[in-house]
Amino acid sequence: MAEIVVASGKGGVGKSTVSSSLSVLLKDKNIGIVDADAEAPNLHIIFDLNKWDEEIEYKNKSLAVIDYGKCDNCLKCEDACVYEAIYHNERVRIKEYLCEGCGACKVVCPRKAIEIKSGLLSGWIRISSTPYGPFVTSELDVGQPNSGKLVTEEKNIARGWIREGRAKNLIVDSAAGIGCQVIASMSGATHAILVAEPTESSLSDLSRAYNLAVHFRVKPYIVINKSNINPGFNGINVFARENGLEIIGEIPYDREVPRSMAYRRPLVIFSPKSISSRALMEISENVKKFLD
Amino acid sequence: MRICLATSGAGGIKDYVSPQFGRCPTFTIVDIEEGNIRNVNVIQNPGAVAGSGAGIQAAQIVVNSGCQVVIAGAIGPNSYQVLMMGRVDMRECPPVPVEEAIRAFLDGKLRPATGMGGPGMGRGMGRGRGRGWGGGPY
Amino acid sequence: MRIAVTGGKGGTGKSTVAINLAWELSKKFNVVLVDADVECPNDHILLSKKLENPREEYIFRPKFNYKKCIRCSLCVKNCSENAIVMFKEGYPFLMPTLCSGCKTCQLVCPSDAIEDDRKHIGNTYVTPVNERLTLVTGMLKEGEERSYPLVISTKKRANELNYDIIIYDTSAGTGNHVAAAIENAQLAVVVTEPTPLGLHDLKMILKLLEKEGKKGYAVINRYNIIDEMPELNGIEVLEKIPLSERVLESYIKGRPLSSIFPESEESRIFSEMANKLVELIWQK
Repeated sequence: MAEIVVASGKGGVGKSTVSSSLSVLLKDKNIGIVDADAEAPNLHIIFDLNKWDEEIEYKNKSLAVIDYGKCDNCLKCEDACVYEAIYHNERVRIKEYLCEGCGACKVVCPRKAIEIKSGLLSGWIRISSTPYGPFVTSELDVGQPNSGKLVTEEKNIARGWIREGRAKNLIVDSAAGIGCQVIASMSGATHAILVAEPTESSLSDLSRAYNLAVHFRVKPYIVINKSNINPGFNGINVFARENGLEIIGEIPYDREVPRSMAYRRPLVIFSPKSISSRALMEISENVKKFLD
Repeated sequence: MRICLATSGAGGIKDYVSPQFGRCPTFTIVDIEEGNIRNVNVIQNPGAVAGSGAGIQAAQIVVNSGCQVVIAGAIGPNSYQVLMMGRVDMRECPPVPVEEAIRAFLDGKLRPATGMGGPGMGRGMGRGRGRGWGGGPY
Repeated sequence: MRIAVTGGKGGTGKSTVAINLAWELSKKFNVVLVDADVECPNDHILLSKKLENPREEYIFRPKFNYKKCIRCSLCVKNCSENAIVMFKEGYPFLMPTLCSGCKTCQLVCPSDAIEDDRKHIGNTYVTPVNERLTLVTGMLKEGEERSYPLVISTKKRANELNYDIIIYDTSAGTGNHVAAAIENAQLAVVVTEPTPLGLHDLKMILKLLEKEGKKGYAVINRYNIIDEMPELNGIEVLEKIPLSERVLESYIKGRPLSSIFPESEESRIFSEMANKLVELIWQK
């Protein structure tokens, strides 16, 4: 059983393109698909999914609430809030999206004017089935903290598919960055496909994502996307060589990629004969080798 | 000795070992004397419905109930830390009936938990699964 | 004048727009550019600058003074992250990875037994770019889960400087780390691409801007990669940028557009963008 996380650090380098097309090409390996970006989920668009078998409300939010009958505007709460979620203009107000319900304000309030409400709705988890395997995605309400916790919930659901025999391997499409969502994506994965484009920016972010993979003992492989946009640059190859990493594919820049997104199809379905599709097929053959 | 097993259903010796420690519905706590099962006690796991920090609440209860051993499918990193601090011996076990799991433990067949959490967890470099006892259903 | 540059979807060109906008505006004004993408900051790379003036940033972490601790367990009960554990016979101890630094435990302790310790979460940097442009960068320590506190520290560091205009380059996403970067702005430039993915994330950013009471203006990047321009509802379009060899080259070379292609159409797009924004803010 493999849990493959597709990450990059840098946004927009092609994680979702690779994840979606690999899910199609690896269909015979009993794939479960996880869109592990709760803040800006995109995979459901590529798979043209808008109906869900199950929609679960995520009710983990805690929030401070002020009783204006008791509040005397002393502003001790505003000083105590490390999240900068309390401000005042005539009245003391809570920015609900930034508040994490820690209760510091409640503790310092001399008038006992603040209560913490918990179990509030802050997101949704959605489950569907695609022709390639079961699919789980989530959406965190905007501006909220703790998107990583929602990703962890998704992974728990996906691991349930494995226990039930509905899938044997997982493809986890992670978010950009290296913060809580990506950490939640990597935790427990067996392999990582790190996608990079041949630029300094992407290389800088790749090395940060790579360090995370090493920390989580996930075996990393490299895919170079838009491989021909910077012909003089071999920084990714040097990085791979210096760290003993296998480059399992190079995908040249191809206008068919954004076109396939516009038509809401995975690239290898929309344009199977394109150069980018052919590169992805090679990548999937390499992935099959480490799946067995 | 007092053994705590994470159980998947209503608990008790006919129930099955739960694949996950933190969110299992019940704990079945068993006293062993001279190799025989004496008391069987079932407690609800408050972590079952907790948002986050489930494992920590669960682990605290287990330590506070005087258990020296914990048996579950997998133990996540947070629970693992707490159980370590509580000096509890942690063992991994596939989802078999509780009685079988206890026998396996007493026969020395259960491997120590790694604290990595679950199927496919950071065994590093994707080596063979070799889950030891019973070959594992995962 | 305070502007946020955001977008939701990664890779739409936020940083490209942010640095070029900052460069244009710095021709007439003192500008601070804040790279609030603390997980993967890139603005210094796009400007070919080595980060300077590092400062370590910390968040609170409790340290238990067991001589004063009376084992009342109020800290355990009040910790919203379940980061403090106490067994029946024993003293409270911390699960460090779960602690968010909120200080509630210290506030609730009746016996003054929780002292200040701190955790290093990352660094901020202040890097002069030209006479009138300074780059402030936040860089999260690898393995740190929470970027939000460092975004706050990065904004604070920027506010130590003098400026006429401050530009916040946010990270991808729509969570609290992005909200924090937008909080102090007067308006937001939302950089999107004309694919359904870009537009989906644009909608989420618009929801966020509404919550924060900020007006957004769209910049459509690489508008010509799709044959048909989709409808943009609920937002005014500020500029459209074509897929362009020159933009790509300036990105790869790490030089602002108008410094290597000064008379180009692309350069003009950015000077127009800058002028429009100045007008918009001064109209308010």
